[in-house]
Amino acid sequence: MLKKLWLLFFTFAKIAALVLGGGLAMLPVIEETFVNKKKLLTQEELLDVVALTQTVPGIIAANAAVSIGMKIAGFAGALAALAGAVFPSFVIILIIAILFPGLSPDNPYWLGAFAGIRAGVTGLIAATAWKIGKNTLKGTFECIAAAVLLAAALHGINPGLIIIVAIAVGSIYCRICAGRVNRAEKSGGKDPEKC
Amino acid sequence: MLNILLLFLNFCKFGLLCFGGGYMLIPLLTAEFVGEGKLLTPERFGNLISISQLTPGPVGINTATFTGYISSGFPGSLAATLGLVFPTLLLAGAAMSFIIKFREHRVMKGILYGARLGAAALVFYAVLIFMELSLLTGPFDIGSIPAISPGALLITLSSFVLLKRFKWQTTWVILLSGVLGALLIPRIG
Repeated sequence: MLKKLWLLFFTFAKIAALVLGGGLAMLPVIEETFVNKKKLLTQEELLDVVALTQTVPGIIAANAAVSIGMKIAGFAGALAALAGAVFPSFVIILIIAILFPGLSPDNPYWLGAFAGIRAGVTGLIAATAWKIGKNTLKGTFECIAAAVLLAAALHGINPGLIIIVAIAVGSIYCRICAGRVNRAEKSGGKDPEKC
Repeated sequence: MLNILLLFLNFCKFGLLCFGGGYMLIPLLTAEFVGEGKLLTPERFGNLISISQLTPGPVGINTATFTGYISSGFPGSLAATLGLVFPTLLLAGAAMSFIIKFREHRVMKGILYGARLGAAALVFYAVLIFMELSLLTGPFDIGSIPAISPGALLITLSSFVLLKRFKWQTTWVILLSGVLGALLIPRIG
């Protein structure tokens, strides 16, 4: 248990200290640690977390830390992960605020390094999105639904609203499929298309 | 002391109001702290936001810590940061335990099926947004498509290949991207 709490604290501290840009930028590191290496989350549960972080108010990093911590080790896990997500930023900003209260950053190498990290994170997210796409977009319905939702996001529709619409559409689709499965079983036909 | 408590409660309110991440904090903070007779001038607030975005860590946490420190020193930074994440701890914690409890229920299965599709779409969207922010030299517009930064494009492609093909750890990819950025981007853009 203590080991899990430490893993949560340490992983979220690492994410907060390394990842620039906030929000979904941390997804690749979360996937690497909790899905691929430690097998504490499945890829589907990772998507549940993404959906949750976009619908519940609050900053995305904190939402992700709390929900993953809760899933893996209960309330203590949520606290450990949240503390990890907050700790490095808190210390770094405190140092900057104490040392350079009025400073605006303008060193070209410093700015270059940050631009480089943002570009690198773009590649990492693209790799994660690739994998998520392969696992999620299994049929025609999924592809069309995801394309429509993506178009809505590109038109500036609020992400929380997109998740809510997706939940409504997904629930109705599952209900229709379940009905079809029932009818097929009654008539003793072949295996219907799986949902 | 009252000052610190008010700061904590104020940031609790921001934590409850910011849907969709830390960037939503900017308008909320502007209304509360920026302007004549208030804590920050627009120029100082602009610097604070750009430092918060350039420094590693969640933008929301960075901004809260910074604003809290300027308002009332170390206790202020602690109060602002804890205030910001306190509602999250309760809400996201409750939402997750709810999902775990009813995971096998028929209705919840439908909900999660839809939510995952929506989440996948938002991840694809994030890729496009990150491409715009990191690869282009200005915001994307059909009328005037901005130039692509060659250094950034090179870094993005190598990070994709290093992770996917050579199974590098994300930590090393991010550190290498920072070093390459410092070396390449001031020279070739």
